[in-house]
Formats: sequence, C-alpha cells, structure tokens
Amino acid sequence: MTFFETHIDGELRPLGEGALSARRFRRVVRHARSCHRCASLYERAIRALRQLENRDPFVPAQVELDVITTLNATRVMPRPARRRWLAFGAVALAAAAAAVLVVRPFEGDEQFRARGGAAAGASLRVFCGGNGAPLVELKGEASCKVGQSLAFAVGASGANPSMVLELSGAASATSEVVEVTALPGAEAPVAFTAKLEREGSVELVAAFASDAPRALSAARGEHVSGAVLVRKTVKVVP
Amino acid sequence: MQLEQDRAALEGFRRGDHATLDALYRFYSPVVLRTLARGFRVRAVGSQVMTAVQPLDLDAAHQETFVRAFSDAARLRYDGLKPFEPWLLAIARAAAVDVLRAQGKLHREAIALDESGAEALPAPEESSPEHVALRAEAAAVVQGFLSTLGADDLRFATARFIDGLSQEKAGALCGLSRQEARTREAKLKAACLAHLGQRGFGALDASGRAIVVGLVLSMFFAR
Repeated sequence: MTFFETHIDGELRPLGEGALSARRFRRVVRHARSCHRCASLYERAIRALRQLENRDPFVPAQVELDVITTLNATRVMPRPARRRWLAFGAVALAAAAAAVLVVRPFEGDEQFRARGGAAAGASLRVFCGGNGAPLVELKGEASCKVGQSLAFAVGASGANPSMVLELSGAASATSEVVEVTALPGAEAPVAFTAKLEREGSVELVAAFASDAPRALSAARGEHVSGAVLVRKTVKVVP
Repeated sequence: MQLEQDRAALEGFRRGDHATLDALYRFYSPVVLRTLARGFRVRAVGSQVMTAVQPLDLDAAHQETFVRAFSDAARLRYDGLKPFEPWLLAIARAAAVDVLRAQGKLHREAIALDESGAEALPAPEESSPEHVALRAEAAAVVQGFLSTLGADDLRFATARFIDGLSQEKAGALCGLSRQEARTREAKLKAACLAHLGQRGFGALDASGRAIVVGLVLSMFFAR
C-alpha cells in the first residue's frame, strides 16, 4: 500500500452496481489485502452482495464471477512461445559462454589459467544443482550452496583427448580419466559429480593430455609437455 | 463441456491449444469459484474442519487453480477417462489450501480432503460455527438495509432478495419493465453497499474528518 493510496469506500457503489472494471477491482483487492480496515469492509460488502443476489453469503455474486474470470483469463494460460524463446535464448547464451571460454581462455580472465602452449583448445564448463535446485551454469563469481553438487562438461581438440578432473579445498575428489570426444564449443557432460559438504572454495583443475598417464601426471602438478590445465575456483556458500 | 467425451477437445487440451484452454476456462471458471467460496473439508492436526475461501482470497485461489490445471505436466497427467470436473476441483481445493496456508489462515499441515463420501457428512454450512456466524451477519446487514427503504423499493427488494423471485417477475410485481427492474436492482445493491460503508466499516464521519484535518493543519503550522 502506498502512502497516498485511497481506501476502497468510493468503489463500493460501482461494485454494487456491477460497474467495477477488472482493473479497478484488482486495485480494490490489492489495497484491501494490505489494509486491515478495508479488508473487513470488502469482505462484509461482498457477503452482503451475495446475500442480496443469492440469499447465501457463500455463493459468489455475479460481479465476482465476471470480474475474476476476466481478470485471470490471460494469467492462467501457459505460454509455450515464450518458453521456447527462453530455451533458445538459454542455448544461445550457453553457446556464447562456451565460445568466450574457447576463443579467449587465457587472456587475462583470472578464473581461468592454462599452460601447455598456444594451441590449448580445451574447455571446461561447471554447473551447480541438486538438493531441490535447478541445474545452473557457474560463470564468473557465481557460487554454489552447501548440499548441492557440481557437474561438468568438457570439450577438447584432438591433440589432448584424455582429461582428469581434480578438486581440492572445500571438496576433495579426483575423477577417473575421461576420454573427451566433444570439441570445444560443443562440450559433452562428464559422468562425475562432486557433492559440496562444507562451505569455502573449491579449486578445480581439469588436466587435458594426449593420453591417460600424461593426464594423471598433469593433474598431480607435474610438468607434462603439451598438456593443458584449465583451472577454476568455485565458492561454496551456506 | 465434457472433455472426457470429446476426443478432439481432449487432444487440444493435452496439446495446450489456446482456444480449447480458453473454452474450458470460461466454462469451468464459475464452477471453481462457487466451489471455493462454498467451502470444503480439510484435515489438519488430526481433525476435519470446514474452510471456505474468503472473498479477498478468491481471485488468488482461482488463478492458482487454473495455472496448475493448465500446466504441461497436469495436462499430460489427465488421462481423459475420469470426469474432468472432479479432477479440476481436486486441484482447486489443493490450490486453495496452499494459498490459505501461505497466508497463515490454515494450519501448515492442512490438506484438502477428497469429496468422495461427502454425502455422509453434514452439509458444509451446518458444520462450521464460522459459517453460521457469517451467514447471520450477512442476513442482518441486508435486513438493516431493507428497513431503510421506502415502500416502492422495499416491495421490489423483498420480492427479489427475500422471496427470491427472478428479476423479471419481481419487476412485473412492481409494475416495472425488464430494464427498469435491472436498473432498480443495481441501484439497490449499490445503496446496500453504501449503507454498509456508513454503518461503521466505511469512511470517517464528519467529526472524524474534522479531527484529521485539524491534526494535519496543526502539524503544518507547528513548524
């Protein structure tokens, strides 16, 4: 209720006459919900109107049937077109994010650092979800909550088809060696998730190498020629 | 509209066809509103109670009902074998309980009961003290209003609102045309609500307004 919003007394006569538009009816109801005085007045007025029309205060008056039906007619309809647009938008955004990750993975973004040569050609996308929350991609300073899980998608060029994912910090785990068949920009999900049990920050290192032993060595921090490391930090909040 | 007997409409409903949903909405909207306003049984903390959606919450419960019933999941879940109306009204009761629970008007563990076997229970209006009290209050308001009317208006109002005659018959009894009867009824309803507003629930009376104006002026000139 705003400071200058008027009470509903002036709307009772048009309400009784059935001349209250849907818009004015909505304003009356909205105001009455936030104003104890008008809530009581509105409920008594509607019951009196019902009593007059139907001789029963629990049978809705015709004005209620008409106005509420009109008021909610557009609100209750599903909106497939908009959802489709949102889905396309989400895919386009994900593709754009992946493109940024692939095209500029090592150009000053403090979240991502790599070594192993100019033709890095590897990408890692991190998602957070579970515990009743939808799966969302973590970008920039995004964080994940305790009790949720991290999921991953990776892509790599043909030079480094083996990948190991290592987590340290608030969550500690190492994935098995994953054979990466997807290319950067069309990342494929990894069958490895990590549940976040406590708050803090999780350091992610995805080590891409030409074969499994090299990928494991790179993940342990050893220098492996041609390997690519992609790092990311995820904050875990309560 | 018998959705369970109309395969084309059922397919349209499942597909989310806008025209079908709109036709269903227009047909069932009054049914849902009447059901919610009339009241239904809920179970809370081990006992059954009657509850009705109050006028102020009616549009929210109505909207929530159709949003749920028209959602993708609900449309696909409806099998087209059982009658549509009881299916929709079960959604309406559950939606109403959620709306009332969210506002703290029902116990948080309350759930709507299935209406099967409802005939074995007392009628809703007889089973709730609140219903009885509200019914008496509404009747008293109308009686109070009728006592203020002149002879012509009282005759029409009695025929229409007490005896329950149709608008046309009540008008004919008072020598009014259909249009005149319609106008007379609209004016009487408006006058009734205005009467209600003046009987203690409405605007400030003249002395109240004077006090408020005086208070505002004193605040203004006190600076």
